[in-house]
Amino acid sequence: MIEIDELEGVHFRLPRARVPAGELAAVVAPTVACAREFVDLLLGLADPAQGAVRLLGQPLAALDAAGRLALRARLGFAAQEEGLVGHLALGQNILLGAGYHRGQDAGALDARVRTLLGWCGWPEEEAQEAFMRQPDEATPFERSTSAWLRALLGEPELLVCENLFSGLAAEQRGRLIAASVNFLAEDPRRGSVFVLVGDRLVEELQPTSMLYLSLRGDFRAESEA
Amino acid sequence: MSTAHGTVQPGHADLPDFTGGVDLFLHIAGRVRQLARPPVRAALWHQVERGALDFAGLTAVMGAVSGFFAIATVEVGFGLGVTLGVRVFQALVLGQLAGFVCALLLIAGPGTAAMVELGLMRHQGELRTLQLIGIDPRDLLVLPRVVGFAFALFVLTFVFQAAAILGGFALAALFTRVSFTQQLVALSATLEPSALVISAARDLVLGAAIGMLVCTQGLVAPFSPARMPRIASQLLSRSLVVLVVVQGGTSLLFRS
Repeated sequence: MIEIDELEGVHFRLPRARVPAGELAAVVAPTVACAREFVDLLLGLADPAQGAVRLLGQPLAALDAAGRLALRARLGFAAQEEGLVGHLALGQNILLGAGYHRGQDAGALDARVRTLLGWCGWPEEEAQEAFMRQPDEATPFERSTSAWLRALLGEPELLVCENLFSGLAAEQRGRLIAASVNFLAEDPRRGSVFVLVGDRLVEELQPTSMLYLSLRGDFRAESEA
Repeated sequence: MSTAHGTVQPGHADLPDFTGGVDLFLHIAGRVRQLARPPVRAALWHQVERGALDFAGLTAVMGAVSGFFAIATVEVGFGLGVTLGVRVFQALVLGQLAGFVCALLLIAGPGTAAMVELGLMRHQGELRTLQLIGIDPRDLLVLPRVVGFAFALFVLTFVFQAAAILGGFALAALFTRVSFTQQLVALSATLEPSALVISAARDLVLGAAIGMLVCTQGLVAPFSPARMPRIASQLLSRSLVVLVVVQGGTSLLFRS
């Protein structure tokens, strides 16, 4: 599902790593910038200084911009900060990916939304009310869950979450983690990667595999300078 | 493709591989089929609604008042009669003023708003989010805006022209000795269908050009919240140049 070979970005290094299907992987980044850069390199939004990434069996280096966009359409990406489109209501954000890639509208997705809301323990009436809000009027839980719902409505082969739990209470984090485990259990060919900043939440997440990003020496030297 | 360095700084995930408006236009010209996707269609409708329908009432009032003043000035002020009055009305109000006023309205209101919205999206890293979920930002942000501005200008100008004819003639009939029917007959004798087609085509081209300028200023030109006033005035000045060139060029070419 994911194969990484000596990946090196501006901020971090990651030695050889592999995440097969069915895994719930945690990637521990030392800083927000590392987490962000890792996601960009993993999903082919930027090219690494060194190393290579194979995603869903495809080497990113061999794909052009259009090929990478098409590959990302098979994935689900969720982030709380900057993870939603600011001028769209949460409900519109949730439908964005499935609407764009699969041409599905709210009616077609209604049953799936209900199932996913049930998984993450978000009462339907409360959620429908929140869906009318803009992201800047929503709570961190509403933003995180909306980004998560958008990612899953596209029926992705791989779920990638970037710093999704920032500012959430333990109980809210637990609901999203349990829901993500349900998503994996539904189809063993799927996988998920949670990029965390720091290892504080690793115990709660209980990942089946762990990757640690290490800061690049020259970055530390630059910071000190 | 963004550089690795660029990706770690929020607000700098710009549109990849694009240097300017023409480049962007050529790309989206080949992407018209993307309008079939529900979110792109919704964005197009939103743009038409915000650009045209929200301003339709104001445009109608301006059209009626402009029409009245043009006819009253020529017919009553200069005493030149209904035929000449309607001819001047047709050339000046329907041919020039309608498109000019509506384009200005579009630039100053929805155009500036859309430019700021796009710039803030870029500044807040939302272009990165769109790319990470497999959506080309040009499909969702540029295409519906360019097409939306074209339709919006077309609709606004049509409303202005219709209000100028109906409202302007009605007001002129109220305040002068010329009847509504006399004016309509005079207009129908001189108004050629080709003039309407040229006017419509010009509005679509001009609206699309304004949409391109808005998107270029918001998504490609250097942007930051502190630079917003300068960017807004750049948008206005560039749009005015395009407006004068398109309006003047059409008049010269077709003598409308």
